[in-house]
Amino acid sequence: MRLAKLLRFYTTDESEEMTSLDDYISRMKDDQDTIMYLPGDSLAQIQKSPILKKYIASGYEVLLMADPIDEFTVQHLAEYEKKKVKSIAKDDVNVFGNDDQAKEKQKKLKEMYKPLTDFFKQHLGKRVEKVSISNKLVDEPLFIFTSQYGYSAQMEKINKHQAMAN
Amino acid sequence: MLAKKNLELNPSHPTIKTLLELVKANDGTLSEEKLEYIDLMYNMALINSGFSMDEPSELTAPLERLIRVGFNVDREEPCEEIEVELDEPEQQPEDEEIDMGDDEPEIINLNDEL
Repeated sequence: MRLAKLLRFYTTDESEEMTSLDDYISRMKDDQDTIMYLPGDSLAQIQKSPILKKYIASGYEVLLMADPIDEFTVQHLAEYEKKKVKSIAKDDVNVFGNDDQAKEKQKKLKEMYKPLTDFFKQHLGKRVEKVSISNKLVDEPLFIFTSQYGYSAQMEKINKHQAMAN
Repeated sequence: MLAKKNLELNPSHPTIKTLLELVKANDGTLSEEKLEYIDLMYNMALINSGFSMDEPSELTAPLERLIRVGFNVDREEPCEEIEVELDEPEQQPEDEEIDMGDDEPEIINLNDEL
């Protein structure tokens, strides 16, 4: 996608100016292999999203996509300049806790919380696909991420509205 | 088509910690009231995660009961009309003059004010 170079997005960077993907990459942390973004209805709403907190606190920059067309554009852009392009609202972004110690801790927590994850799964039934223990949340008790295969929350909403309009 | 939803729990959150103990202590069987709070948490997560709710009352009805808890009101107490004591209506003679007040209307002279 040659036009990708021309894309401009708002970002969690303090500048308040739009950035290009190239500029974003130049600011990426050393251990970061993914261009991360978060879609939503408006800039103000996305900035308050509970899942941004940990990324900002850990010094990761996230692109903020408030235009409905943004997500449709970037979902066809799986990679840019050899970097993956992913939404942090999906469950396959994993920048936290990739070292052995953190993985071991996560495994222990998962075992410890098995009665509760089982309970949630049984109680919520078809409403959820999966219940797991998070390492991405700061203040919220729970959050719903979407599968990397399939619709995002934003796309589900747009789809519902279209179905109603027809 | 709907999105596939993966629910993630925050293991450091006090409510989640408490829930784990509660579920373990009760062998996974919780009261209706507790289940309602869990559904409320789920629905809040839906909204926080950018989903829209088809049925807002699924959120507002449990919230209303939760507000009662915050104000120490019974969750199930029904609304009851308040009995108000009404004064006996006095019989008014039909051609009584209505008192419009004897006072002359006060005329403010703007020139005095200035």
